[in-house]
Amino acid sequence: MKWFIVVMLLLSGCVSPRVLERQGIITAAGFDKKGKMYEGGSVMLSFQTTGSSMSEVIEATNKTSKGLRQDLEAQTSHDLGSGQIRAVVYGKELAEEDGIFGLTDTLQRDANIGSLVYLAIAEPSAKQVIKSKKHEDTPDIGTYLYRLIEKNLRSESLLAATLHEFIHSYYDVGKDPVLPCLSLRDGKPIIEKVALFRGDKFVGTVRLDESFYIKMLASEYNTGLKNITVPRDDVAPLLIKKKGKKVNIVFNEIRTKRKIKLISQKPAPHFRVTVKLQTEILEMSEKIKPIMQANIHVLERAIEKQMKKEIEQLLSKLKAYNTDPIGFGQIYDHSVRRLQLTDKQWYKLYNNAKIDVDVSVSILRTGTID
Amino acid sequence: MMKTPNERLSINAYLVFFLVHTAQIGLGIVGVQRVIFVEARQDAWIAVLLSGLWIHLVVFVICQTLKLSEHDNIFSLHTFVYGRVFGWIANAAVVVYFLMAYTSILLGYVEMALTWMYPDFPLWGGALILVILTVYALYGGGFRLVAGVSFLTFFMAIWVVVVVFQPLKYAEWIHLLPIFEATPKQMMNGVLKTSYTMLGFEVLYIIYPFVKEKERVHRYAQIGVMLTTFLVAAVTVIAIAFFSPKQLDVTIWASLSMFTIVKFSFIERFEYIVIPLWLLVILPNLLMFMWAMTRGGKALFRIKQKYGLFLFACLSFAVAIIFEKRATINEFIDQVGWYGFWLSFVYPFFLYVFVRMKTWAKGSTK
Repeated sequence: MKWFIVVMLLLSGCVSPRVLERQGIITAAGFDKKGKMYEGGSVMLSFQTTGSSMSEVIEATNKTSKGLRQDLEAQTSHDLGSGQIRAVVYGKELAEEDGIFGLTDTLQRDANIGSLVYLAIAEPSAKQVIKSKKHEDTPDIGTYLYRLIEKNLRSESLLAATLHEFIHSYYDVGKDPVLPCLSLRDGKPIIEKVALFRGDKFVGTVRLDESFYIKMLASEYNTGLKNITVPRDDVAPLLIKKKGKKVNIVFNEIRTKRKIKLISQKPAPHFRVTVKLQTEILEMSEKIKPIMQANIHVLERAIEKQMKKEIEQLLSKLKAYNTDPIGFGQIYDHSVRRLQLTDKQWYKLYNNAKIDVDVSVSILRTGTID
Repeated sequence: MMKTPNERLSINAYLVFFLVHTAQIGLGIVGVQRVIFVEARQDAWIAVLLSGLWIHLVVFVICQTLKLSEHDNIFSLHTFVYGRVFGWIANAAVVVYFLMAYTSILLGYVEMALTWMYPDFPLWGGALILVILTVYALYGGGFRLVAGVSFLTFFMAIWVVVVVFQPLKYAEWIHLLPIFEATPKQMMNGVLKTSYTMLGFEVLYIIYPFVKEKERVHRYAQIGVMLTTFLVAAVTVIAIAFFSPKQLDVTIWASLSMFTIVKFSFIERFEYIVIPLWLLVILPNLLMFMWAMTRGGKALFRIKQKYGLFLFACLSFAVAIIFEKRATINEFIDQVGWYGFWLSFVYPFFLYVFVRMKTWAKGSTK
């Protein structure tokens, strides 16, 4: 039986070997619409025997994304491997007109590609973002985009950008996906806005400070920074000067707990949203009296009032786009027995849904000074 | 009637726990979530628990049956109850079941490994490797090796359970609500569909004579079944929370897809660890069912298990290479589940009644 083991060991080398120097590792891909075809570009990272690496963008136009892949293969001497793909960028036009589910579906179907790939929308086109030469100290644009999105997910107002989360929300009835929206500033890709979807179609964007609220309502939010502008009258007892219009407050280390409850179904769905937020004050645009136990509530109530207003504005904006990234429909579907909600039904209900917002803020600390 | 094996061939009772548990856990658990979910929706995990309860009852009945007479395995029980000719047919049915079960695991695993890791490797090649492995192991080791393998692989694979908790980061527990929405019919279908995953405890009928302390077999078998039910229910709950309903409807290997989320700094794609590791999980299945077949061969044709091994190995390989497409493999696995359901979930009750009647009739004629 010894020879048997030897043969087994020898045979294990038979499945196609992959030599690192011959591999072209795709780290990012971008898709745009061009007439009826897709225009795609990939960032290919290859390693030289000397130990250095180089990245190059290759482009092609085809009807399907795997067809693109074939065209790309024709343009390089390396074997393209998509196992290390980090970010996939879709052009705004493509996402708006065709939807991107078909393209994300192939990613999911391909066992080579993990579920933690980041997706993003690019304005004006994916091509420009992919071809950007400005990627700080990272070896290639794919890694840059990956780190950019990852950092903003972890600590800032960005939410849900992985392939898994996109497909999850896409399939979930009563919840729409969101993705980061990349734009170029001086030729460098940055995140400025968040793209909203209905199904898999791009419908509009919100600013990052608005997406803060989406993140807060859709999931538990921890850490991060938020700037809020409150009317002067609301915080008047605290102020030393009596002039000026608005007061800016920046707070930090935010922890929130949210609860969304369906109160009644008829005539229209009625939700109550309660948000509990704990935070510390980082900066104020004006000099104020020392904050004490007695007057801290003035500040808290002022922030609550402003936040409530902003959340309500955001919700009506989302309704206007007819998109539900927070997942009210999901809550509706799972709270009502014997109900098979469809997306179509939900959008109808969503338009008339009544949503009460209740925010309670507690300021834990005020930094190193009172 | 077969002789009870001698002391040298028999095993300790606690090994029954490993044998039953590892024979149950196999390929099913990788993709069971979708199958039950399609039937019972968010109540799928309840269907798993119900199915588990049912199995506890079946295991109890099996042990009772084996205690009734001096016939302590299914093949000799069949000849005892049905006589020579009908008994032979019943035994052949059991052997065919084991053959189908063996082949379905073989195909299912190879297909999974090919889809995820080696798309350019032929199906027959993968099947051949596994068949040769089975023959190699059983030719040298026999039953005691089966027991040893299930003991070892249990510990080599159980740690994966810890990693399953990492996907919980993305879980949305609201998917589980409302509870008890499934109609009794949906629930029943859910229980039925769970059966393929939970099959394997019927090996008790065959390993029973090989256990030293017969009175403790029942206890260890029950513990084994309990662990299986718990694991299957846990992965079902996690999958329901992790995937959105429509997504789960189309995800073939839900457990594996959940592993694509798992990421460590030293290994980015954890599923590439899990798939080869799963060979260890299905190995006891393969060995157990092949060994059961050879026992059946002995009862049917009075051939030595050594020769039966080669015969059945060739046979299952031949059956395996007929299949090419996933659709047909799925259909085949469904068939096995259906067959197994009747044989293992329902038939033991009837067998118990028959044996009872037979022993009573025999007793009264004396």
